[in-house]
Amino acid sequence: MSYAYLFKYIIIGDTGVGKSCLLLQFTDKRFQPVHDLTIGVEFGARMITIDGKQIKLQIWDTAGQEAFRSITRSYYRGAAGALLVYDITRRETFNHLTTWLEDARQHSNSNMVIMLIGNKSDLDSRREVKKEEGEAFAREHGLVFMETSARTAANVEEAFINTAKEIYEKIQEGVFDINNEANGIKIGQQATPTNPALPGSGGAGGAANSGCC
Amino acid sequence: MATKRDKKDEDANDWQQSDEDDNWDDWGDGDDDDDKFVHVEQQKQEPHNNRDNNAKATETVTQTAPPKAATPEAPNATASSSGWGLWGGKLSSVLSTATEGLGNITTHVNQGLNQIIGVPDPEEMARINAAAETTKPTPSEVPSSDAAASEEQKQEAGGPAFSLGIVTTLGTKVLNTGLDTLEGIGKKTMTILQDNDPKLMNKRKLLGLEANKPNLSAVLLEAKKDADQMEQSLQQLQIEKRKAQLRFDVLFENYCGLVHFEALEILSKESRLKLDTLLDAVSGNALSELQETISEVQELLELEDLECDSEGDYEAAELNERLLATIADADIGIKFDDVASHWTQCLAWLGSEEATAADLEAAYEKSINALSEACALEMCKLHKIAELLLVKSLHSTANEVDGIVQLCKQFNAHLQGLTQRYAAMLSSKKSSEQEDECKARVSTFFAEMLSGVKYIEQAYKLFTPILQMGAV
Repeated sequence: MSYAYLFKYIIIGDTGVGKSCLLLQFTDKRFQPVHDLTIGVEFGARMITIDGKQIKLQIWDTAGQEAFRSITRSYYRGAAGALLVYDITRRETFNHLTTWLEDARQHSNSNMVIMLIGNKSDLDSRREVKKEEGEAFAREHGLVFMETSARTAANVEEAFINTAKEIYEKIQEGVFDINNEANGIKIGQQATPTNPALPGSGGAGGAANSGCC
Repeated sequence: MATKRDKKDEDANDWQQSDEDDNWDDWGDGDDDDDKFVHVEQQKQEPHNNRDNNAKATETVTQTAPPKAATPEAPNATASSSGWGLWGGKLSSVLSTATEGLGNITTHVNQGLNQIIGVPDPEEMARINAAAETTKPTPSEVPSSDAAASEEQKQEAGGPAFSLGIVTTLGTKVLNTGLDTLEGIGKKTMTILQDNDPKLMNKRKLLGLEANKPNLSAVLLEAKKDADQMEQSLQQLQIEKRKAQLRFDVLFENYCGLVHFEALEILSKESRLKLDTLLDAVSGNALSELQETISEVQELLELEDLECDSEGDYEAAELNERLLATIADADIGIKFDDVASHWTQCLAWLGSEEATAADLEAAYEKSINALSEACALEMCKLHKIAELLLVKSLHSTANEVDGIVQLCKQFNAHLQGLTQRYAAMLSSKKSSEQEDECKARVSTFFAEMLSGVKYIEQAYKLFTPILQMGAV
């Protein structure tokens, strides 16, 4: 599968907020409650269609552990979109958002689209952070906000796809220089039968095309 | 006013010309039909009269020959039934001659008429007609003759037979007239239908039954053929595409090998930058010491040659152990279970029925996938090791360097071994007509393996600043 564009995403946030689960839900449409701690960064990829164009989302799922912070920061550069995730059942993950946001803004290009995500919306009984608080934080910092559940898949697709739409709009507006790969966008060569040698291919067919590792 | 006068004139003209039969023909089809209709009705009247006469004749027979009174009933009954058959035969023959080629469509039309207009059964129609006829005053001779007949019948068969006789005689008559009317209507209908339309060609056109037009089954057949062709070309395209995907570079990216390599590149560059800033920050003795360490690590890494041969004659567990042993001293707690389990799968496939049965194409697909996935898994491991080395607080650089060197050697050896095993399998597919292609495939496969090895070697080089970072 060839793509028109490749967007690089990063997922950031405290450890245990469900970053890897969000990715797994998006790429594999499944939920795995018990998960090994992410080392450094893991990858996932999926093809989506926006405006009739095939877009490959290459998602860098970073480790939330403090130990890997120095490494994961290096991966921020060259991301077109970021999902900043907190856990609605743990207030401290919400409190750390400012640090994460500063980090992200500092180590990435200024045009990066950041989506704030309050995950685990299925655990409403254990909620510690109100939805309004998330909305207020997003408004204050100019982010897009959404509450998701990696367990029930609620809003997971939307979170990834809306971010892609926002990036796509920015490309249309000319905000992103798509020829500069540091912006996290690659232009794919459209596959034609006469041009079979393609670097960009989405793998084993179908919309969902799971990540590796 | 003028028009009125004109009309009057026309009227006058009409009246003047009324005697001429030709004038009626000028009124067009409708009038023509009327004309014919009248004609048919006249025709119809004639047989009716004939039958009446016949009936009278039989009646007279019954009157003159009382003992045989009952016998004429039977022939009459059979006559009526044969009349049915005759009528049916006539109708069908008329229809069949009139609608040459229409075939069984007429029966459909008949059925349709029954369902839509509610035209009753012929039998029922006859019964209705009979009822109507009985109410009508019948010719005066009939009652008397009937009475005479009944008297005779009373003598012969008694009450029930008597009434039956009347009904049958009467019924026969009525039926015959009714049937004649129907026949007339049928004929007329066909005439109207065929008017200016020999063989009903126009009507057929109207109904979409045009003979020259391709019929439905032909259209469907055509469509199916088109669809089949389309599907075939699509399949061909898909196969082409699949073939295009069967390249190491493409598959390596699909298995996320490339992105791990890119991530490793990022880490390497970052480390290089950090080293540079560090070198800028220090001076004097510290600087020379730092430079010495850095160059030492570099030399250690450059000394090593990563070339390593393997025939792939080892089990997964053996591979896992060997890989673990290479890096054990670096103490970073990395595991190679996925590389080993991939090798288990590879060996299982190579020894399976599927492998022996697979044709060259399928076998090559398997081979190139296995190679790419193995290389991608190795790249993932190297990337993880780099990350772990960077977050490690205590370093034993000598062990780390040695570990990386040995590991990269083993990785390359594994790629070689895997390629050898798959190439042997590919070579076994050699058949007389495919010999050249088989050879070509095997050599492409080896070339692809070399690009995998190249990735490992590049990754190895990327480790230099990462290991140097640990050293300083």
